[in-house]
Amino acid sequence: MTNSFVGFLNSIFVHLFLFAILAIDFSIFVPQKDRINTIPIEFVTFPIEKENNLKKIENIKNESIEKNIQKKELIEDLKVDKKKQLNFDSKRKLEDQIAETKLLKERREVQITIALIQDRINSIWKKPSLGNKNIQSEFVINLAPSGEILSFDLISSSGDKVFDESALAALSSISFITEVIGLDRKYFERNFRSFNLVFKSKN
Amino acid sequence: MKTYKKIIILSIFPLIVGCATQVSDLVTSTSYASAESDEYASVEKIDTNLDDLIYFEFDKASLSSDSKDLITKYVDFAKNAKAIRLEGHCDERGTREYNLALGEKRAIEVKNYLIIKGVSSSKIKVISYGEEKPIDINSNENAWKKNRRVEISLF
Amino acid sequence: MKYFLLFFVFLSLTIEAKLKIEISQGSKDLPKIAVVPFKSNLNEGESISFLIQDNLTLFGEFKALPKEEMLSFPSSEKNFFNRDWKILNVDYVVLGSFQENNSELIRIEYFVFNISLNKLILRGDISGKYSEKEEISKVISNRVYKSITGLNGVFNTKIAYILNPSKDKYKICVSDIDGSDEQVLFESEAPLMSPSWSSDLKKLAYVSFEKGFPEIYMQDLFSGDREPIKTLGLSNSAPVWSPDNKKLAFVMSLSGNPDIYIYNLRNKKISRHTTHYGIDTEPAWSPNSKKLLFTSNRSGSPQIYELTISSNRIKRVTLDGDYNARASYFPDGKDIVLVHGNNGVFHIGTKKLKSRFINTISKTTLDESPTISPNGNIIIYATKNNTQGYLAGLTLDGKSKFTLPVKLGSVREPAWSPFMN
Repeated sequence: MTNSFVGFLNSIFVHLFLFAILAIDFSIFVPQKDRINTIPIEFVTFPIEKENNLKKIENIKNESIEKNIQKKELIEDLKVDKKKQLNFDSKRKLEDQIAETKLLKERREVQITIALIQDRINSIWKKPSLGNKNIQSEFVINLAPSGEILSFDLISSSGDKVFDESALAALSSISFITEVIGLDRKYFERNFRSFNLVFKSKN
Repeated sequence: MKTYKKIIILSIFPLIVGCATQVSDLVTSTSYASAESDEYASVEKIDTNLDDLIYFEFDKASLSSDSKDLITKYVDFAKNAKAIRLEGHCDERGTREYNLALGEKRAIEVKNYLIIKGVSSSKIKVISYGEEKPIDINSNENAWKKNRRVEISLF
Repeated sequence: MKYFLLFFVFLSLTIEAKLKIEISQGSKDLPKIAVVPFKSNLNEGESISFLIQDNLTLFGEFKALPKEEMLSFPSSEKNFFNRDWKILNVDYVVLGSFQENNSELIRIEYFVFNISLNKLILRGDISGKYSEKEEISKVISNRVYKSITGLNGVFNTKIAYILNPSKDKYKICVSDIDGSDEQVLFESEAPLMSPSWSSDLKKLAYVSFEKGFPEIYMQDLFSGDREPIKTLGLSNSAPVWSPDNKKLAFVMSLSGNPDIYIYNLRNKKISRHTTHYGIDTEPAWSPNSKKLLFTSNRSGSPQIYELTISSNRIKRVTLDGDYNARASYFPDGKDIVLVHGNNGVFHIGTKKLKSRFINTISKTTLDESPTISPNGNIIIYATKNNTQGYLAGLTLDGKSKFTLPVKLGSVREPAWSPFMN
């Protein structure tokens, strides 16, 4: 054992001892509550003041109780409000859902009608063979709710007279688009009262 | 000095390119069967007792090891022959002009192998008939296999 | 704010963009055409209408109404009634009259009506010799075809092809597009290949093995004179005349390396345009004579490449399939037709130069040598049935297929002539 080592141990021991004294005497590790208890403080007061003080204390107590009640009531109110809000939200969601479903239904009906119209017109259109040209003719079709074709007009030519005329010939050969008969009147008005038909030379 | 060199190189370049396009001036003819087939009729064909046929895979001109062995057997005969005629053929699939070129490639593969084995290139004549002269005119794997060939004849 | 947004969204949903319905397929039925027997002062009118009817139905583009079903026989607009044809579902009616002035000359007046639109779309007349009535009918058929489809008719064009009646017998022939009037241009015991028309229709180039090796010959169609192209006595093949008629692209093989060359017809000079050690063959000219399509196996399998002649720059054209060959341009220069093979099955395909997709159009399986009609609407190609080769054709829209009349022997390598003027 060297001198320096002994000296070192010594200094550690002394430090620990000092620390222990501090801890015990000054109660560093003792919880706050106990400390409070062990340090009683007493005031000397006149009896009236004491009573006033007591009353004050009573008032404060009452106030705080009242406040608690108020707080509780507020919380209750908030809860009710929240419920109301939730009801309103879910109601709105439901309404949105209904609207969405209605839209989907309309869309589906419309798609089916479109497919039927496409089949019909494809079956009567004698599409000319044009070599390899990629062109289209666009028409606007006006229908009556009975499906009767009130008018059709070329609004955009393909640039090829024969192609335009072949589409014209197809449209001239039918007087009714029977596929819209039976469609919900609202759907008809929104989609088929007036629509465009595009004849394309290539897919 | 550098720019001077550049100018020289640049001025030589067009001359080289110019030469390349005048093909008829530079190139000498290589060995092709330029004689009419009658020429061979008058010359005796050497009988080798060998198969005389090398076969190939579809759209390929490469030689299998069996083919190489067979070709090697011709080397001895070739020493005494005046000419060796290699005729390239294809099966009917694909397009005709492409097959004409492919038949030629096949015959050239055989020719090159003969040269490796010591046969003199000036003796070897190469010609292709593409798909124009099939052995079997049916349209099945068997017929096609027979048609993808190089015919060897020695004279 | 919330409600405003919602309202706005709802509004936009209800006021949708106007409905646009697309129609792109068309009817599978062929347009119905009625060619009414032409009225004539002798009873010959029917022959003209039959010739016209045969022409129009040649490629399967129209369905002809039989004479027995016709309700009336008008010969001009004066006695033509649209309803007679509308109830028969006819789309077009061709009618006319035929006058024989003296024993030689005839004058034909013709009309074409569009029944769905109830209007006259063509009227015309033509005069000529009675003995040339086939030629005259072809001209009328072309005009009728154009008034109906908008495309130039090809009824007076010709087709060249190789006939192989038996082993060791080869003929190069030219006939009318319907197969009639076949003429043999050259006969040989050695193979013949690759006929190609000059743009002025005066000559035909082709490959002949008559000297024991493949050589290119140019034959004058009227005099029958033939001359070989003088190259180096090596393998020469795949001749193709340029649209401007000034050059011939062809394939020559130097030291076993087939490459693309161009032969200048004026000064007889040859220029080389590919140098790759692989196979480069089957050149085809672009309509403006500035580019060439060709087949090359430089990537390992036969594919199509495009060469710009002035710069010798080469661009690869086909990416899909294990075998793409024998490509040629459509008259518009934007699309190509080619032989497209996959797993040993070979079809005719078309492809836009700008797109990767190859559209297979033929259903037969050993297809080769496609040739395009000069109006770009029909393709004829060679295919095989058992051991016999024959020519088949189809329209680009795929609605019509046909085969050319069967010949005695194997037919192959069709070449459609340019327009006759």
